[in-house]
Amino acid sequence: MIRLLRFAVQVVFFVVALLFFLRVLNNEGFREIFTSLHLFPGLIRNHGESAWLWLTVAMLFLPVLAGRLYCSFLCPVGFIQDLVSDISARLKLPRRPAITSLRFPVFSLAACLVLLLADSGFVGYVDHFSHFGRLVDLFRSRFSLSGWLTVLFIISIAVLPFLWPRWFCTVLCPSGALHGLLNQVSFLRFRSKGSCGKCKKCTVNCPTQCIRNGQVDHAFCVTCFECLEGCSRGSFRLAFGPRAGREPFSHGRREFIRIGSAATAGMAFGGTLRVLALSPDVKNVHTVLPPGSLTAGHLFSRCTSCNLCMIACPTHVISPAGLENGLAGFLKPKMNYDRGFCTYECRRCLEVCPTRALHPYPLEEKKRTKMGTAEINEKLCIPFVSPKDCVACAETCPTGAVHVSRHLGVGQPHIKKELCIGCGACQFACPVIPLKAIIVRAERVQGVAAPPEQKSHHGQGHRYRHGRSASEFPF
Amino acid sequence: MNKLHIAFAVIVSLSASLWAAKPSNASFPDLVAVKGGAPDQMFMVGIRSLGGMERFIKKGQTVLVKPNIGWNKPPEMGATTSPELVSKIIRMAYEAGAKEVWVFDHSVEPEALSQQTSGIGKAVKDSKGLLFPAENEADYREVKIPKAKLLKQAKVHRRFLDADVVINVPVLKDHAGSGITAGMKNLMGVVWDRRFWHREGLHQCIADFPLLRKVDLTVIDAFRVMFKRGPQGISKDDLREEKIQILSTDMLLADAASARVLGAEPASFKSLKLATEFGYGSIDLDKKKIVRISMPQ
Repeated sequence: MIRLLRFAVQVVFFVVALLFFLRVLNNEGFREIFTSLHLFPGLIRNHGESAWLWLTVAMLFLPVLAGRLYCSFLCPVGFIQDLVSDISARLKLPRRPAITSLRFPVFSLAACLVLLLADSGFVGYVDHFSHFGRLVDLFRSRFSLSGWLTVLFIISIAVLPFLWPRWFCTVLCPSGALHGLLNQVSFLRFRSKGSCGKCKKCTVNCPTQCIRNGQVDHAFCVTCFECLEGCSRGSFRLAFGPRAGREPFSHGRREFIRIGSAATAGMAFGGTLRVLALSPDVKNVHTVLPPGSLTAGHLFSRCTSCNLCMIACPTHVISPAGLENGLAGFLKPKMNYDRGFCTYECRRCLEVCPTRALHPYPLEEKKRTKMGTAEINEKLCIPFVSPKDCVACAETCPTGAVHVSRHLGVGQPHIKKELCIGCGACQFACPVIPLKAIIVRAERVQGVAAPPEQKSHHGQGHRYRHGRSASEFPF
Repeated sequence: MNKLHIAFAVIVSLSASLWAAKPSNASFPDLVAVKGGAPDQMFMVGIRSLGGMERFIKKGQTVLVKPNIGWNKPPEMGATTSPELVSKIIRMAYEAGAKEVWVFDHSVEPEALSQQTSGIGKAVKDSKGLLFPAENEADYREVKIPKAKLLKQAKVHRRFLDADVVINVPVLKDHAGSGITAGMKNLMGVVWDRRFWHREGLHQCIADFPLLRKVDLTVIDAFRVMFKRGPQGISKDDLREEKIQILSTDMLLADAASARVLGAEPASFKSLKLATEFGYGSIDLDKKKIVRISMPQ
């Protein structure tokens, strides 16, 4: 019964997660709740902003009260691994728990927490929320640079678990690591009492293979109740209560030293990475970044590269960077004005960003945010080098920054820099090949552009004749 | 005279009367201009003077209504065709016996946003028109235009090529590149590669393209005219409410009248002047039969 219930809940949450990432379930309240449920991005999103921080923190107490229900009932990444585990059991493959003695997940969690406190988005490369986002983007866009990391992710959840069940959960997932730690002091326990017939059904059924000699290692137990279901003699019981926590596996000085060394090593590793390779070196960032990034440092320190902004963008201008922005910017968003442009009356990326790495400006402020400034190369621009009219750039400029002045019978574009917001509409529209005649140079700090001129004498309006009578036709 | 003679005379008279009663194209005006009503009302009045929808649509035909859905702007910004005009044309097309009425435009901004914000998406849906996507290259077919001077071939949306009847419904605006956007420029929204036109010679390509296929009816929406900073417009200061609508079977003539609405001579726009060299239309408004209708305020 519980097995069926758990399966049903897992399916529902898998579909809910899919609909969230595909922006089908898109209302603001739902987005707040859904992102705050997860440790990452919840902690990054809500730290400093207390409105939903309580939810993220409350989720941390869930394992103490009720074990790892989050991992076993809710998490879609766990769901995929459980399906694999099911197939693996049917194929009777030799399943072993992943290396437990080094307490890898504590390592990963500690590294992430250190990096988090030191303001870095490294957590995005291991946390399950961001992985799931990149997975959805992979299928939606058929290929992107973040696809390579996602292939590794797919291997960790759909290939490795054939032999090492829930490999991702036990080795990499920082949420899983934290939940596993808290599970050590959980009120919920699985115990084998009295009439155990040593049939090993519990051991075989367990999706994380955490039962040894009829005893559950609660560091890896995901509270899935499979052992209860499998036990034919009803010998496996649920124990609940504050005194349930005495464990054969989790005590003693050796264990304490293991956890302590793993945590220390994790913090050292994280700190070293932060100093050597992942420090967001903003001096070398030349690419235009999405609106709301403020600076490269702000973006890279909060963004977990979940790809939600890329999924949401209606022109597909937001793309994952390679190494051009350094290791700190790897797979994080940048604007690609060869693929698209930032359409004016839109703020979808700001709406969906789960960590507020893209600051959620209201639309009117986003329309004044200066991501960059356009520059014309008069050696390439058609009306400068030939007597032909073009000005595709002026056509598509939403703020009137690119305006046209006539020279020898041909309209030539010029830029009013203070009006330009660097949206890339001009660069995208420019027909010159192979190099564009107008390109946007990034602003290192995204400032505020001047408001578009409400009244202007530019354009052809001078021909309009005032004072025609209501019935007069001009032909 | 015997019964045979009488029968013969009756048959000949009846045929002659039937033939005389069928309106010939020569008796319709070259251009109808309406002023002073809402866009849908002006269309109803204007199309009657042009022979009614029945002149253009036979029962069972497919009709393409091609509005301007180029920009993600609301209708009151005048960058796109009035949605109520689109809706009225679609409804009247069905009433005249059209089997299917198709609508599309290859928007500059994302089409889903543009269709929604301009109100045209809803207008098409409410009038039971069929709104087609235009952001997939697979929907376009390569065609040749042998008489063209620059645009010798182009990838054109199949719904433009396959429709039995084409009704072009642009919104009249100033245009930074071509000077004016009316009937001819509106057809740029049926091709895949706009950059080619800008790169090779914008005015000549605009003049070349109509050689591909004759547009059956052009309806210029000049209700809210963008006089400067077109084709997008930056503020309402760029607009004037003219409350005019221009209908014609000669797209070039309709564009010439539109030029006058903007306050300019038709020949001052290079694309119009180049188009006269092909002979598919005329810009000589003075030589044409124009019906002008002022609607009561």
